[in-house]
Amino acid sequence: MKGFKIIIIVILLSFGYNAFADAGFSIRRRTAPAKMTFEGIQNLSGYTLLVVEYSFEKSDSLLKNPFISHKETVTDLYKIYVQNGGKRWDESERYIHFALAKTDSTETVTDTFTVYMEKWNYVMQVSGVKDGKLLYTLKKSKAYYPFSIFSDDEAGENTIVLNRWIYIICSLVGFSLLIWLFLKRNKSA
Amino acid sequence: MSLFASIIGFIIVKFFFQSLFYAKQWKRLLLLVLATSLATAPLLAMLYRETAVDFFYVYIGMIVLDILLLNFLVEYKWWKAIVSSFLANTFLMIFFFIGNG
Repeated sequence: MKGFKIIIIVILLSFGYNAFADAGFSIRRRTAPAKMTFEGIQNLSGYTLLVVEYSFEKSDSLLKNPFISHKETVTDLYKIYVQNGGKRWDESERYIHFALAKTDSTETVTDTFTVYMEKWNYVMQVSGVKDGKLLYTLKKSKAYYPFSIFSDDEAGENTIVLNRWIYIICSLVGFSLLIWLFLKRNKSA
Repeated sequence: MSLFASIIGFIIVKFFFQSLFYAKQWKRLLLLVLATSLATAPLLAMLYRETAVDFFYVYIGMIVLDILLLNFLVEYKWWKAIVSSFLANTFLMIFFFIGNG
């Protein structure tokens, strides 16, 4: 009976631990959607920076095409999320293909490059253009989840964004109570 | 669905369906329902919002956990535990998915 009591306690503890780990807490904490932001785009006089393609592929098929059909102009307010969060974890990898083009009527592309994003937040600091090539530095930081269960985008203006710790503590209290009930029951038996 | 609403909902749904089988031990059952609801309601919300866990396995896990707890904390009768856990957790999952969309 003592052995069985230990097994039950281990099951209760491991169930709680594994679930918390999967829920984005503790050692196996899940990473958040990777985000890229931009600074210093105003330094590009006579040029525009374009996002040409999000891709699973490293090779930039669109960039080989002389006619770029899809393009988005990058500004300082522009943000790229390679993963929308939630359950779509398979979208955590993306190759972002950029092109630097002149702002004249021909929009000649003078530079292309690719940034691989996964589990990292990037800040692209653009310092200018030299010989048609973009001068930039990339600062990166780990894309961890903030400790809130709902993202700011998801929560409405009147919704209180609850801290994840409330959920974790509440659940731990429940599991502790279960273990206590189990121990108490066995002592009285 | 807010945390408070989900915990209260879990307690009501679980207690309603399991008290049909454990009417005599309702005090012990209520304590168990309080503890399991407190433990599982926030955990399910986190798992649902932030992970890709298949909820079928979560559902099975909850039933197994409930069966064990009912057997060893309320009354040692397997058939009662199995039927009441299955019933309560099925409606619990329906309530959870309706509440969380």
